[in-house]
Amino acid sequence: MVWRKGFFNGLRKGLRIYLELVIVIVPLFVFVTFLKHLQVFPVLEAWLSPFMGLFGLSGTATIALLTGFFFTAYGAVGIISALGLGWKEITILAVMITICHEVIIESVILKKMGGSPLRITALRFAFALSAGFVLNLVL
Amino acid sequence: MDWIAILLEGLSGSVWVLVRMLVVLVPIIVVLEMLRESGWLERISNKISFIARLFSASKGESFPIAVGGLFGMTNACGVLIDHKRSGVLNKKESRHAAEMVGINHGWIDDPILFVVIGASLPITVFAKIVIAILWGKLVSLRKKGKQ
Repeated sequence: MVWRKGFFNGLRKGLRIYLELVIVIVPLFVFVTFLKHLQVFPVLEAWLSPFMGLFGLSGTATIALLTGFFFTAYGAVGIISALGLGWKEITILAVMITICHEVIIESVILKKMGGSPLRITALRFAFALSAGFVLNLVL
Repeated sequence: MDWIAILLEGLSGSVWVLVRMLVVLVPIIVVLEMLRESGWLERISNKISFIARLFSASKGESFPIAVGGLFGMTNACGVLIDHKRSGVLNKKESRHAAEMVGINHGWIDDPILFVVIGASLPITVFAKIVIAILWGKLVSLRKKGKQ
């Protein structure tokens, strides 16, 4: 009985999260496809590649990284899947973004939990960037 | 430029991501929820509390950290507020637990999302464990320094 209840609750919850993902991923995927055709990426490559290269990322990945840092990991996943990056870049982005994401919303929760949001967020950025740097050297 | 064609390209391109997520993510959430409903969550979270201690957390702090790892930050926040009110954790301990959960939550669903779109599972998991241990060391160094 308990298992059944858990199954149906889980199904409901899982589908709700899935729906949230769909709502975020589809528009972003279309948006990135438009950017691709508008030739935005060569410009990003030229400007940002020297800096992003520190983390083994191309300039194009900047949009994914910033979306993950400031908005949601879901959004970053939508963008990454549309960019067609290699496994190394996706893995680096995965580690960096799972360390540091949704900093604005999560700061509010951290405050409620009794932590110092500013310090924790600063450390999250520092850890994310150094993890990207180290992974680029190792992978 | 053919706007409609680009729109269709974007829509059709996103389908494979959505299918893979439906197949991988939803079953995982169903299993997690079944474990919670049956009371196994409590047991598992207690069992894996030793992992949290690997991250230099004390015994009382490790339960909210394990909850944050398995069920996300919001649930960890709920547990933490409850523990603080009932006096299981003092102010300093709950701040330490919040710092631990802050960098290190969503051990299962977040990495899975990225693995579904092409990240390497072993490397992602390994990197996250190393970072959690380093973070735990850093946070507890500070805790000791202030005592």
